[in-house]
Amino acid sequence: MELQTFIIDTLSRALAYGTPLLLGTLGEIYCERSGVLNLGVEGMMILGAFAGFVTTYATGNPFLGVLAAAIVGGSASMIHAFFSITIKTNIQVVSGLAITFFGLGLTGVLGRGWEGKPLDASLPIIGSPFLESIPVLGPIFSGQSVLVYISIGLALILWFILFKTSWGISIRSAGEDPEAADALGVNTSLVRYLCVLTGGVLAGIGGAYLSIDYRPSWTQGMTVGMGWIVIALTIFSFWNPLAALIGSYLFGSLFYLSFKLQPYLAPELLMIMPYLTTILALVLLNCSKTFRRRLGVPAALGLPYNREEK
Amino acid sequence: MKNSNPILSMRNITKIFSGKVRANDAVNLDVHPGEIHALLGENGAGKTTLMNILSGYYRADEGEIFMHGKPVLFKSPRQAIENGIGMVHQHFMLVPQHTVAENIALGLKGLPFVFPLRIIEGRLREFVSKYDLSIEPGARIWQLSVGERQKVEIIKVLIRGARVLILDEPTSVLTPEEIDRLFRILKKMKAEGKAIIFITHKLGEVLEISDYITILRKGRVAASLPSSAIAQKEEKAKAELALKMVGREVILDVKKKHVNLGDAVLEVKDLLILNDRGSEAVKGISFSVRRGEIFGIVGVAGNGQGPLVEAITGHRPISGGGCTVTGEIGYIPEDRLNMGSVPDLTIAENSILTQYRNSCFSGHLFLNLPSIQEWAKKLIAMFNIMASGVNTPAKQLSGGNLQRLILARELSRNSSLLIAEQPTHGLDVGSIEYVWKSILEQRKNAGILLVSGDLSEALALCDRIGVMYHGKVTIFTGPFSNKIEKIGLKMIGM
Ligand SMILES: Nc1ncnc2c1ncn2[C@@H]1O[C@H](COP(=O)(O)OP(=O)(O)OP(=O)(O)O)[C@@H](O)[C@H]1O
Ligand SMILES: [Mg+2]
Repeated sequence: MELQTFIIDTLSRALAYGTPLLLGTLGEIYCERSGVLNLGVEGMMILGAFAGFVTTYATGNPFLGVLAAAIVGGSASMIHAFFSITIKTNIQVVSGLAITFFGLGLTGVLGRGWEGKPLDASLPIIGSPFLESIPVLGPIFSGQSVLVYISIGLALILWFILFKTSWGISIRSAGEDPEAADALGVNTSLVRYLCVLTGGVLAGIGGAYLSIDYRPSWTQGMTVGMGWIVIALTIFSFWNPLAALIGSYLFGSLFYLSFKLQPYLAPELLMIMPYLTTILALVLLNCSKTFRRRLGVPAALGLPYNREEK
Repeated sequence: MKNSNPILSMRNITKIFSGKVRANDAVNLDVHPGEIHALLGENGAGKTTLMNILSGYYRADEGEIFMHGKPVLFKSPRQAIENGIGMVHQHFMLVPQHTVAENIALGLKGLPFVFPLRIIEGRLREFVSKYDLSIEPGARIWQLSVGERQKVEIIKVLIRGARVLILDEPTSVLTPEEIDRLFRILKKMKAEGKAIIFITHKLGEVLEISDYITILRKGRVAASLPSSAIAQKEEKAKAELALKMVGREVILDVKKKHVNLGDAVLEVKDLLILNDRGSEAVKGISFSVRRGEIFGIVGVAGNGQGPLVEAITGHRPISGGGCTVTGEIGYIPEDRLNMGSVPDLTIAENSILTQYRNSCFSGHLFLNLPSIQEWAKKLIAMFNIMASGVNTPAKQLSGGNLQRLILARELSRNSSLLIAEQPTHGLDVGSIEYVWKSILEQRKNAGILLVSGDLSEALALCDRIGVMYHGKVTIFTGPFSNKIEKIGLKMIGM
């Protein structure tokens, strides 16, 4: 039975740890599907984590904390949207990175006095005797935060919107061929703005989950590169919300295992993640059209759109 | 019909690009319901620009548009669509990775939020019965032939309730059967009272299908007349139109001077090539091209011409047999925008893409910019490319002028083998005359492989013609005057 508890343990931690990854990845999928590359996820997550913690601490209401995180993450993403969509600069990479460094730096300065403070209020936990009585699945799923369930539901909803509704067609077209979408009267700028906003809001909530629920406290740089894993996951899930569900929990379990297996596995592997994903993203942006198409990269990813220029 | 009120009037439309290029200059255009209105003009005359203004894609600097006599202002393509104006662009505006149904549903009003595609499938069936426009809704665009893609574009426009349909060079990419089919569809739409604006460079088509003709020259209206006012005899009528278009007589009748044949520059032996799906596209063909001759490959599109050229130019692996090229290849690809040029680079940069290592243009480390600019200026002058300067991005050139730039680059390279794929697609008659002359000239130092969908072009230029059908080739040697019928039958496999 030793092995069974180990597996159940791993899976249950994978759900918990995979949730901020899932939230971030869902947002980044929407962002990239609409054609905007956002390397600022890490920054938006840490801003969300900090805002969520402080608000919950001050008000005692974790839901207000999540709301504040969503607002802060969303606002940060609007800066990125402004540079990549309105100004139409070719510097999406730079503006994303800038937000990441800005977020890490700002929370580092503001957060000094908040380190080590305990958080009393926490998000409700889902669990019932009935749930627990289900073999294997019961112990994995019970005792998880409500955000775990919300994010699973969100993955399903976002998948449905992306592939089964008219909005989904507009979003994917904006990322594949904004010119074609524009010619049919789709407001590509608006679509992209909304998608980037979705990305920022979800990244912010992902951060709040970390600081309110997963480890109810504030530590500087507590997102430890999750934003970068999100960018990698977006690619590995081929921009599909359902695949992101699997990918996030897979990464979640890897993360848990890497703690367990620390004696055998270099923790530095995780630390090279930011650099690795930035390089990966840049390679994707610059590799040949046919290769991009085969991989399913949104064809207009990273390209600003201008009407008057052919 | 001419007594009816125009459904659409454009008045004094002027469009100036980057402060200097007068693409349209006080243009007037009236279109009536139930009319097929041909819009003609040289490359760069401003046809596409005028239609882009009409479809809300560009804003005119001056002038007004009236629909049913009422002034309208289109700030975006959506507003033009809502007013019943639909445009099928010269370069298709379809999302290649998406399905037919998704492309049609994009931005379409009145669809349910969830499962919008189910409705589309039903609506598509209407078009089959009404216009004979059948298409598989689940097929992805990249899997479709050009003719099928065009159908999708037309359906896209019709489903939005277009009463004025704009087609920008719709036939330049179609096979003869596809053109026939398109014309039947257009006639049905005309009978329904729709107005059709039809841009083309092929004067035969104008005479065949149009009711009214407007000719643009250098951004201005050079002539506007009913088709019935044109000479009755075809040759005379064409000459009359060409004269109005380019302002001088055009002689599309080449005189071939004798050139001595040299060594073979291309030797193809039992060549086997697979297509993307892994089936045989070229089934063991042999031929050779010698310096001093023009060898033509003709055939209905999709009979192996594409893979053959890709294999010779090294873009596709060979699965059997051999293919030897002596010396360098100059290549004028069919796909100008993706294969032939880099749209974001300037004209000067594009003009040396295939020879930037030439010592005239680069030292050991750096490019020699002044000499590149000089070179580009020379090409622009020699090939009559209409551009505001050598530093404009290539994507701002009109379709025909981009083709001239690629031709200019490849013809000036002194390669030993020149492969020209559809070199006169989308060119006006004046330019065709020039390109034909240049290719004949080139034959003095090179062997030429001419791939053309236009049989009359091949007949006029080639010394030998290989007809491709189902991956096999049958070779005819000129003069062709008494073999034309045989060649035509071979093209359809008889
Ligand atoms: N976006 C743009 N920016 C600057 N100049 C442009 C732009 N679009 C077109 N032009 C210029 O305007 C002129 C008219 O171009 P247009 O595309 O309307 O020609 P066209 O009649 O359609 O020619 P073709 O038969 O070759 O397609 C050309 O000189 C072209 O270089
Ligand atoms: Mg044009």
